[in-house]
Amino acid sequence: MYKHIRIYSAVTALLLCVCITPAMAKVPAELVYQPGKLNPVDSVLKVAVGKMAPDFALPSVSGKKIQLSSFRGKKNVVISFVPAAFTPICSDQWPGYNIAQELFEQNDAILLGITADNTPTQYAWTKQMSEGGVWFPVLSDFWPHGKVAQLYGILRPEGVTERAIFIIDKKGIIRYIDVHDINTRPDLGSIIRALQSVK
Amino acid sequence: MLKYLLSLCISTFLLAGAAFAEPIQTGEPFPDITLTGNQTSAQQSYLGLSGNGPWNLTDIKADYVVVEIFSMYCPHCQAEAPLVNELFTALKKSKSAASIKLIGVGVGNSNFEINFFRKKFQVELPLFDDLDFKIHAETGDPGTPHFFLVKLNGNNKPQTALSFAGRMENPTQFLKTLQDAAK
Repeated sequence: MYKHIRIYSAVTALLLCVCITPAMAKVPAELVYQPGKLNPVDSVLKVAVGKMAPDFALPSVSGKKIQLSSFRGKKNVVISFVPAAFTPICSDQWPGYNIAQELFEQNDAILLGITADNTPTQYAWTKQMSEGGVWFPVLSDFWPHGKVAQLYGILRPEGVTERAIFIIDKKGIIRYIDVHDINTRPDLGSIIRALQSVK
Repeated sequence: MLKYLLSLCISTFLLAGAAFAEPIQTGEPFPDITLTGNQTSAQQSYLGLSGNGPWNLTDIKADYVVVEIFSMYCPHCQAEAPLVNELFTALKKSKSAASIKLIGVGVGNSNFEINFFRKKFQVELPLFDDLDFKIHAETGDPGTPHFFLVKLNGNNKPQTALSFAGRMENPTQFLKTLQDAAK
């Protein structure tokens, strides 16, 4: 149990370092811990563009289990992995997607959001983004911890996922991968342009 | 166990501190920020600008400029967008129409994201992008949204007439606040 607490304490502290961006208030500069920039990517990708996307089934905030292969022949799939709930960069990413449903639908695509947090955490977090939560399924890769992230080769040593985008076409083939610098947010324009080329 | 929980609390406190910088305050000098992003001829005409930019803040033909620091990704800014539209309309109809102009700067937002936000919320006021967070840093890393009323002082150094953090929520009242600060 102590081991788990240690791990989650470290992960929480690390994520605060990664994700916090300056906001508003006064704290003497000497009391502000400067974590520096984290390694932009700290994992080895196990999938590639042109290859079949490994299938998975994960529980979602709605209570339903979502299987990737269930979209085959029906929808393109955009998967957005973000490192963790309740962290500013991560929290500033999905609210943008939440107002852009039409951009995904125009390209016959569904968006799946995945973190390695548990479902109750994701529920509370996405409710903060909008009263009704977000329009896209939010999936928990919490247990076995980060299994899907590991399958795709984007689980970092500290147990969080990379900030990564995968686009999978209706045949289940990976068409686009952006394992993004964990310290920054990917441009929505790049994602939508990549999606348009799949359509 | 207590030891680890305590270390978690301390880490959280210290790291949360890292989140807090100091936005430019009322009365302080304001940087002559560089503005980029595509503008319609109506938006250029509103600001008295020409060409494709980039422009400086002091190129704007007005006594004061309200600079809203926002982000397409910020839920508060999304909720505030219709109210900022109302403020823009009210300002243009007010006695301060010629002297106070309103612009938005999307921090960390690309041109694509700015254009999407513009279309999504039918925003008519001029919006500029700040993809690399340069303006955000120059203005003291404000949270979003944040409103600055900047006195341009002709070609002299701009001055912050009002620094307002968070949502203004009531456009009518906020317009009066701006007008009072510009007296």
